[in-house]
Amino acid sequence: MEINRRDFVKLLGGSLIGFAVGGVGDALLKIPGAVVPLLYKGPRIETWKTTTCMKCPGKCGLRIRMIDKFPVQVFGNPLSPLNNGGMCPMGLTSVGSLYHPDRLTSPMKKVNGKFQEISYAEAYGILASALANNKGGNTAFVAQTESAFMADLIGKFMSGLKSEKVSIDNFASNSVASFDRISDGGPDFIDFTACDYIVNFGSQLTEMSESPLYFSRAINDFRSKGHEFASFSPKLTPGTYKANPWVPVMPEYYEDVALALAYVVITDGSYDRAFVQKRFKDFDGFKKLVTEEYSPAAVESRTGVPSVEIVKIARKFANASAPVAYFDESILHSSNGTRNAYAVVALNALKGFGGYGKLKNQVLPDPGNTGKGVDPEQAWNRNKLVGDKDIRLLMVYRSNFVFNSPNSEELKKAIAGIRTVVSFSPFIDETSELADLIIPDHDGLERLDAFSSTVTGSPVVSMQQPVVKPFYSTVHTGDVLVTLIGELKLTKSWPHKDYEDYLQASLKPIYKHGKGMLMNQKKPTGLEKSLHQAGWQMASYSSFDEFWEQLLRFGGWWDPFPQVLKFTPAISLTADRLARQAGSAPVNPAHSANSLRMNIFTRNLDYKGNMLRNAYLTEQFGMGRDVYYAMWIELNPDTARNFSIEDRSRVRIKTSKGSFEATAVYDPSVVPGNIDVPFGLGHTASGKMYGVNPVAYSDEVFDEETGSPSLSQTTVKIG
Amino acid sequence: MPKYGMVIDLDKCTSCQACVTACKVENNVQIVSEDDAQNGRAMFWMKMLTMEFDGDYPNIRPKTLPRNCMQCDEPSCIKVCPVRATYLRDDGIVAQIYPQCIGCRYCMANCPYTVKVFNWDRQEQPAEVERTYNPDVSVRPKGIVEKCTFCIHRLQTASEKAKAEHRDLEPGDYVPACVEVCPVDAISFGDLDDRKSEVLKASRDYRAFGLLEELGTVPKVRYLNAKE
Repeated sequence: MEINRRDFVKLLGGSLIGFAVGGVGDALLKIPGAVVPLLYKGPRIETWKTTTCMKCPGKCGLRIRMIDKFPVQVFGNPLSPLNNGGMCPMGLTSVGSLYHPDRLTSPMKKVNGKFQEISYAEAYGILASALANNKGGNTAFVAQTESAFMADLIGKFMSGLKSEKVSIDNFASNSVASFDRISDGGPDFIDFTACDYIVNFGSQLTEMSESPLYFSRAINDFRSKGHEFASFSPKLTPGTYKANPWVPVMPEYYEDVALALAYVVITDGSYDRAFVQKRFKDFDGFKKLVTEEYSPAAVESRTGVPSVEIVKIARKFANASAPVAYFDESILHSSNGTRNAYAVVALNALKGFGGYGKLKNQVLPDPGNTGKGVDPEQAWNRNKLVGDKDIRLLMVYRSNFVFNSPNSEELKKAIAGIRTVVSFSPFIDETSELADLIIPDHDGLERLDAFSSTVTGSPVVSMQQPVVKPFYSTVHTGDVLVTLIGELKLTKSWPHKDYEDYLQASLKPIYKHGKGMLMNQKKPTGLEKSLHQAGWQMASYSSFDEFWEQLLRFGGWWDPFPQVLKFTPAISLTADRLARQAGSAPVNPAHSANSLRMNIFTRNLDYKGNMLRNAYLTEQFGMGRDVYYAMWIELNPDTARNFSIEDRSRVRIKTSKGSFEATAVYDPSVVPGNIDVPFGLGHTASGKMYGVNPVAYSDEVFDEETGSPSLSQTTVKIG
Repeated sequence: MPKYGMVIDLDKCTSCQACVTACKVENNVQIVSEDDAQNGRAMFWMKMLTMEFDGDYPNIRPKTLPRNCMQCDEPSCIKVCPVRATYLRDDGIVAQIYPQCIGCRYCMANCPYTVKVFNWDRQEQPAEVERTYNPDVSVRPKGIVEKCTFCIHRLQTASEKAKAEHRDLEPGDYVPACVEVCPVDAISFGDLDDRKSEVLKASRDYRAFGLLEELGTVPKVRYLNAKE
């Protein structure tokens, strides 16, 4: 693309500076300290606004308590079908980031290694120069967003630049990526009305999943009907406390275990013959592989999972009328992550995916499909960014992938070699500190976005609305992209003037088809339900403008009675995609008399490193272990005694990348031979560092196919 | 006069700690310094405890429970307070008059549930925390003992609202923050003297138990055991 830099800046200047300056709002608010006296001296008028949380993939509806028009507290929106008024620690404390003194208040440019505030004209000038030099393929974009609308926009922007170097870290998309590779799409939801048995492979359903709060409620209801769920995972976390049974297994063995379950189902003859005949390409090859190599006894000898347990769970799975073998993004965190997922998909196919559901006639962007060429974020780390010397411009939107990657040093070197790195982070973090230019995004309470979800079995759109005017001279990254697409003429016709306009156009189909309801009442029951199902509507709006206003006011839209289909994908899984290839056996850290395996676990207080600068969560992080602002490890007392480690003693953990100190805490549920290490502390960009980031000490082991980093295949020594 | 009580269903509880955070945020509970926290002075009115482990590896489960003030009907804390800074209200809430507290900590020593916390110091709070203080709750100074109040300020607000609307307080008008945010409705709250209340039914469930009941403190926070 040839473009004159000066013209470009002029064009952008008119369009974009307006957003930034317009965002500042009341002059008083330029001084954030002004908020305090207002809070304490104002008339104390309480108002409430609804919005959506963006701290994790859950997309929970929020009610913001405002005092004198300033947010002070966050509660759940009881009318949101995703969280029904419930909240988690991350959401409850999300208002803090709005007032955080470390927020970036204007664009920043790096000069001699230090960031300096600059004007928007200068910031867009730098961006313009970088884009002017773009020749398809040398611009890359890394984003972390749970908004399918934002992801779609980024995809459009990059396809306009003719670059496929896009990596969007989106939980739903990452979770179904494996389905997409071997079938014609993934399921939309677990159909809890039908499902009567769940075998879970590593997902922390109630802690870190597509909707932790929905799953917390759904799993409790599921259990209250007398149904069971079995869980295979490397750690007994709160999400598995209710599992029956919990079977400890390291992630690289999910594949073996899933195929051993398949072995039992096949040899018992209890699989859905009609389904596999029709929908499972090369089933005979699969059957041959499984029956030859994955008998429960063989798998027990490889993995240590008792064959008795495998047979028991497999038969419960086989005898259930609508079972689900469940996995999500977390299954990828292993050297054979994608193969793990394939094996679980195949296991589901044996029972015709009976417990899954699919929505008919979807009008929403699929949250699980962020576009062609868009891989899970992890793919970026090893396969693309580090190995790609052609990238001249890297754009990063809200992703702190350097913190989340074991090869952070390699990434830092690769980023240093890129001519221009532009970040849209609202804070300095471990990734944005490497940028040449930061154009800070608004805080979650200042921005407009929409989040779609199908996890509950209903299409849901949760609206994020600006509950306050932006405090600082920040900008909505969506506005930047919409303007860039238009000004650079990246598509043939681009009628949108800003992100709001783009979002409205994206949501018009919902208004037009007229189904569903706003989040202004509970799910209809009785007569009202029958009326709804018969197509009756009680629309409280007569135009799209009214619909939009109410969509924001009530926090979203959903269809409580959608048309649901059985999920019956065509599986194209040849045996060679599953079989262990020579030389690609899972990386299995050797256990020896003086070494252990480090298993990094995540908690519902941190999602991909976002606990940075949250004072409440940082304090609460180690509360369960009575360890505060410091690192701890958990290990089985039997293991500890072998190493003469006392409970609560300080120990040093040595990996191939260095060593760190931690408090050893006895926990009899930890897999013997492992040390479990929490992820969330160790931010170096926060000013004050608490604990360490164990990922930085991990061996660089990645999933073969997606490049997702393994979190449990590092050998450590302890002393 | 109602008698407020709480029942926490451990079968529903997922140990997510939302109640812990909600309590801390709602009541402006101080974030103490790093040193104080490491010396066992972290302040939580509601805490998620791991009591013990049931079974042997791998058939093992931790017994976790959220623990706040038990709001005893026979509170041992009030019996030792030399200045009557803590007292039992008619509605069953064990309340605290902060300006009257002299910080002797006798009540802390006498509480068998160790739910009271002491303001050893008054740390400067992070700016973003100060700016999101709940204006309905006073900030306690150094040298004061504090604990869960069943979010008594919410009772006051709800009562005033009901009065303004010329009606009686209805069930659900007043719930503490931990009850409101619990994603799985594991916490029931209400009037233990109301025969129709959910909380009374729950407190009489066959799974119900109180912590250290043998001490005769008559805790009004009760638990429902996990189902077998």
